Amino acid sequence: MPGPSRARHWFAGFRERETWIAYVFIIPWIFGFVVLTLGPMLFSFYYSFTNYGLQQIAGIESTKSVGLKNYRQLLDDPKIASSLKNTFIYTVMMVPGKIIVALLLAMTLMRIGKLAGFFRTIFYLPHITPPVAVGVLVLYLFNGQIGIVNKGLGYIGINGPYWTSDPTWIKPTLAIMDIWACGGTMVILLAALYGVPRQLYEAAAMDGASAWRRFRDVTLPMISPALFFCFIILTLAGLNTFTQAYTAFFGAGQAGSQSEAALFYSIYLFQNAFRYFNMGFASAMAWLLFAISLTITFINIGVSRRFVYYQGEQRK
Amino acid sequence: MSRGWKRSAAALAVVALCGVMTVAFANAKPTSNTSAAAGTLNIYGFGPGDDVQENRAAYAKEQLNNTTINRPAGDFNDQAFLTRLASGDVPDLVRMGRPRVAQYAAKGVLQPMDACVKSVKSQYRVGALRAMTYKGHIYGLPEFTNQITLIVNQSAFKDARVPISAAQTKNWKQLLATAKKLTKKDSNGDLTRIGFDPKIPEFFPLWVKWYGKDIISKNGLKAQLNSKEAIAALTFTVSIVNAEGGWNKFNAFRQTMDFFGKQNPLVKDQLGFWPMESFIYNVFSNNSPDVDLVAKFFTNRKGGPITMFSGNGWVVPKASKNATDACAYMKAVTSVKAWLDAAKKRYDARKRSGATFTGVYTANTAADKKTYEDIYQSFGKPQFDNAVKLLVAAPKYGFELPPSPAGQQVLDAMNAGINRVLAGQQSPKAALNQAQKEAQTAINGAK
Repeated sequence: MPGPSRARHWFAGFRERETWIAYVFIIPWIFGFVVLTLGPMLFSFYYSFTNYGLQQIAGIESTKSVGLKNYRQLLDDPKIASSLKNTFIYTVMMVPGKIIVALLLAMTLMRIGKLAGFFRTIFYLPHITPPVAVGVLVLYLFNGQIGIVNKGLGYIGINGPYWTSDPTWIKPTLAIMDIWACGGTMVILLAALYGVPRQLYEAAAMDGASAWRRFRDVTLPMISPALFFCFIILTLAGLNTFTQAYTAFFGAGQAGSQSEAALFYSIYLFQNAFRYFNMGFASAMAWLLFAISLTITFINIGVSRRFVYYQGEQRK
Repeated sequence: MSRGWKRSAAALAVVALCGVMTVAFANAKPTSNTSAAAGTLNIYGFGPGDDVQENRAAYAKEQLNNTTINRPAGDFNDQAFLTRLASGDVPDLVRMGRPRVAQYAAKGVLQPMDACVKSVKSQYRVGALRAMTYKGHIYGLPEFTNQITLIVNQSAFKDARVPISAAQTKNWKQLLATAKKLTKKDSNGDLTRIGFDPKIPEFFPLWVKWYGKDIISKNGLKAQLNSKEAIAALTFTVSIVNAEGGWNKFNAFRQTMDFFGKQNPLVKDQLGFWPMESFIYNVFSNNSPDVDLVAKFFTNRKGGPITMFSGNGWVVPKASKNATDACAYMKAVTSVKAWLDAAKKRYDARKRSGATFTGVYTANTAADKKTYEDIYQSFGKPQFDNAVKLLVAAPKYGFELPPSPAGQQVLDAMNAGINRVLAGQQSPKAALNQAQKEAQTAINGAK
């Protein structure tokens, strides 16, 4: 028998006093979301079809529609393709690397007894380091001549590359620094690991499963929702990467260090908006990135139906 | 039924309230507590700075003692300035880098100040004033002027047994040979001393000027990045970097240098000679007054001195509410008296502390002349005395990049192209052809 529609169900909730109270508490968030997120998104969508720039900002000329001109320019500008390519390559390096390292750290923390809290703090600290500081650190730690990374590699007989000068190694350098700050992901995965029922491991052990089999067939499926969440969030973060790369390679006085290998999409968007004052075009760039992010997220959600297991769900 | 309508109305009211707030905030202009009541001047991009800046600001304030002057902290930032333009909280007077002036003037954001500067413009350097000019109108007054000279590490030349006369830029073949002789490496092949740093991409326009050419036309509307002279200049300067170990080693080593500290490249013998802006003499004289340097002119192919200016300038936004006081302030803060007052106070402070005074180099020719003649005295450091003499003479050989409505984009295209060549990703010709296309597209879109 068909029940009430979802909308009717939602409206029916307002019969309860608790519903009103709940909405009163979340109105500040709704307000913030509308004013600081949804509102600017809608304005930017509008501006992406206009000639919005310096003159319009200063109120000297009115904003005029240019139709799809900004979007067509996305196809004509070779830097759009190259910056997107840089961004994708970086994301492909950073996301799996961060998840793997975070998972390894989380699994290590589960085995440590009394000192787990101390090490959890140590592993989490890079996550709260300001990104600008990380950008500056990149140039010092990865300097090809005196950087500590190459000195360490030298002790084990490896001649390290020129991480911050060689275009081939700039993206891996930034990815490594981002992976270093995997504390947030580690904490999420640690919580997921604690949620895996012990009896599953015991049952698997009794059936003769090796450590690898237990990891593959018990741990991974049980933490797959957390892995999926991290994958989505990190992919979106990777597509929006800006601060560390901008600080290290495009900051003030860095004309001699700018490398097109570090020109990520968000950096090029920022340059178009705030150096060249092409706000309309920058808005179109933002919506292209949104479309790409949305597409990738939907693909991930589709793929997740195969690989993500939610406890209690029934697979058909 | 009526209860159902009440519930719907309540929910709709919540949504409508959020929508109204959004629209209200989007259209709101702040009740500006910076509105120009008579006698209020809001300045942007001139936050607290060193002694020279503060003394000049104090002098200018005295000249406008009926005006309340607001000087928030911080230097000019495009993003912050755009935010102020968008919000209606437009400053009355702005200090910005001179390359930006034409970019903002082309969009009508700034107001011409021809009438304001008419009585004083003859005091200012022609090149610097030209950088404040767009389509025949002067948009403000230039402030500081950095100029480029060669800094020669005499110790390095002695160590390499190369005569100082070899520190020259007229003869490129000899320059390359000198650079190679002065370059030192350790047993791992890492650089310990760069023989000559051509300072590209930053000073690339100076290398093109060696041929007597410019990277942009005088009216700022035609990019000239791929002229045969520019290609030749880039090919040569990159060959110096390659001869000294290649870009990776060169850049990695250069990133380790601390130009502003006591362990600067002269003290640590990390550089043989290189072109640099004039402010560095002040830094070196403060941090390492006994360093063994020689200042020389950068010369063109005929041996004539050339130097490139850069600096900042004062402009007045079109929406300024107090253009009268803005005009008076900019004239006061860049006046001969302001500069002399600041220079004298710096000289006295340096003398008290036993440090060296190397002068103050401005866009006001009259001020520079008087500073040198009336205030400057030798501190017994002949290397800095000679540097000062050179710096006083250098401006007459100077040029500044012509103002362009797409100035930033032209420079970005140039920097990106040169960096591609340094990284071995493109040939000089291909890189500059690409840079030319990008720069000209930007200029066409901005004019």
